[in-house]
Amino acid sequence: MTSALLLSLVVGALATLLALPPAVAAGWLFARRSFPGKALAETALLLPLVLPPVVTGWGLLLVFGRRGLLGSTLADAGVPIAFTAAGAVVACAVMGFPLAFRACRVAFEQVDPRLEGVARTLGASKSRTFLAITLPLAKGGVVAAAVLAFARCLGEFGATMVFAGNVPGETQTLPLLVYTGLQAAEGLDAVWAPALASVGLAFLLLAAGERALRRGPA
Amino acid sequence: MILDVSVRHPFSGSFSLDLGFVLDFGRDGPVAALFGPTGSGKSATLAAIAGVLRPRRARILFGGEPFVDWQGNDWSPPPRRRVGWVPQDGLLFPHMTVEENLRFGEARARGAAAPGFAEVARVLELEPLLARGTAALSGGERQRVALGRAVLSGPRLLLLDEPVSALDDASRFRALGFVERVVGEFSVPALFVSHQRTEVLRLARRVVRLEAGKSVEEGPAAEVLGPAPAAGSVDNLLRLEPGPAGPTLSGRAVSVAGDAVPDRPAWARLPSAAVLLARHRPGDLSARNALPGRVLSIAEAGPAVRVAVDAGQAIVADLTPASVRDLALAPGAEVWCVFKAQALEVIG
Repeated sequence: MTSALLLSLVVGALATLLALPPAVAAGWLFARRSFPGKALAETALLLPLVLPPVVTGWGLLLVFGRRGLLGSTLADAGVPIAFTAAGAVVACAVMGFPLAFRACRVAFEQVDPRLEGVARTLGASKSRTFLAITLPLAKGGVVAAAVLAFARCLGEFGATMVFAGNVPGETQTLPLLVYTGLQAAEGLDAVWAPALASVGLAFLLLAAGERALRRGPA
Repeated sequence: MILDVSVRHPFSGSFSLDLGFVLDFGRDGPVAALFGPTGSGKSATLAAIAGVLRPRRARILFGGEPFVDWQGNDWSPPPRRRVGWVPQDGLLFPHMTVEENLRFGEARARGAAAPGFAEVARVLELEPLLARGTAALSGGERQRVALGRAVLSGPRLLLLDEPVSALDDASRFRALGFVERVVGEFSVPALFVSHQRTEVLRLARRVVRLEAGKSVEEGPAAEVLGPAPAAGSVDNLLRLEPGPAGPTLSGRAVSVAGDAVPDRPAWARLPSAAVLLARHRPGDLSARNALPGRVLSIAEAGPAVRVAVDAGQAIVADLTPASVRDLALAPGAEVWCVFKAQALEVIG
């Protein structure tokens, strides 16, 4: 149980780190720019939110599997993704991305674009404006996005199961441990600890996320 | 420095911008104004000059340097334009203190000509505000910080969008004085936008009048704005408080026109042409009212010179240039504002 808990936390943290930069970038893009096909692109980005997670997992297998589009190249290079801990991270990142993207988009939409204009006229470059004005003002939303993505990762089951498997110590996160416990013949005693740990973590994360959203920019 | 602007830009709905004007700050004086009612396209024009709004079609030149041409080529991004844009309400960065806001401008100062931090803080009287957050500032303070932040970035031109419209009457004259001081002390020309006649007359010599997205008139302020009500005079709006022996103005008893002595706080109108200034407390005079104060600013207003005095409330007096010279009036000078009871009319 300890190793599953640790693995969940590590996979969640890495997946959040992986998902957040593209979520911030896409959130900013969709909040600030208009381009043809924007609505369609947004739907595509949000797809993992509503697809059955096992379908997402299967899609990941098609891309990153041993015979997949990128997976074969990666495997040849000695970096197999599917059925490894790295695969669990990728699966969680993909599942957490839409939530983080949406939170970031809303956060950036709430920053007055004229403030960015002022910074530009004062001589700040685009990147400087983003780092010194936009991002700090959207900070609350971006932190909430990270918390949401992390929370989603801790609960992620289907895509991880399909894409990363259920290998104790390698890809068996808390939800997979609970599932394994439920399948076992010797009763439900092994389920209690990981299940309660999940409840506790979820509680903490929700509270933290709400706090970050309410506090807004520091 | 010549500012040559032509802008065509459709907005959503039926409103569109289609205007052009040329301002020569060297010839026409350091302050020019875009004057027109709300929704006439003044702010959008400023934003286009600042480079914050990219018009559909435009040709903008400043000092011979193209910001953009008709083909949309040579689009110069805002940092390269070196133009200080002060939008309405100042728009301070809410996550920074006053000092951090100012330093943001200073850090990006372009050119050795940028004025120093201490100098700007002194001229705009910002020292007491530096450590404060932006949320607790008054409207006038916000404007001063925004102005200081823009000046610190070393602009070649200031664009001021309704710099004092959000302020109450008492603060407005004072705030205009700060705009004047900045333009004078740091030798930056300014184009400001206003729908208030008095503000334009007070600050600008050259005026472009806009209506429904078009520039309909361009010329000297007095011509474009037409003959002023009461022959060039502007109305001071003054707050009266009831006192034990009649109304008081900033704590001093005053006499008002007519028998309608207010028994509650009231506004009174005082034409600027009806105010005399004296260096010493006047005696043996028929005028009933004399209030001590300090000169805030002095500006040309057509043939007259408009002197703003802080007498608890701002009072503007129109004097001849000769009087200003003979009295050796300068900002900070102590004066008495003298006016007849008949000139102070209670308006409710």
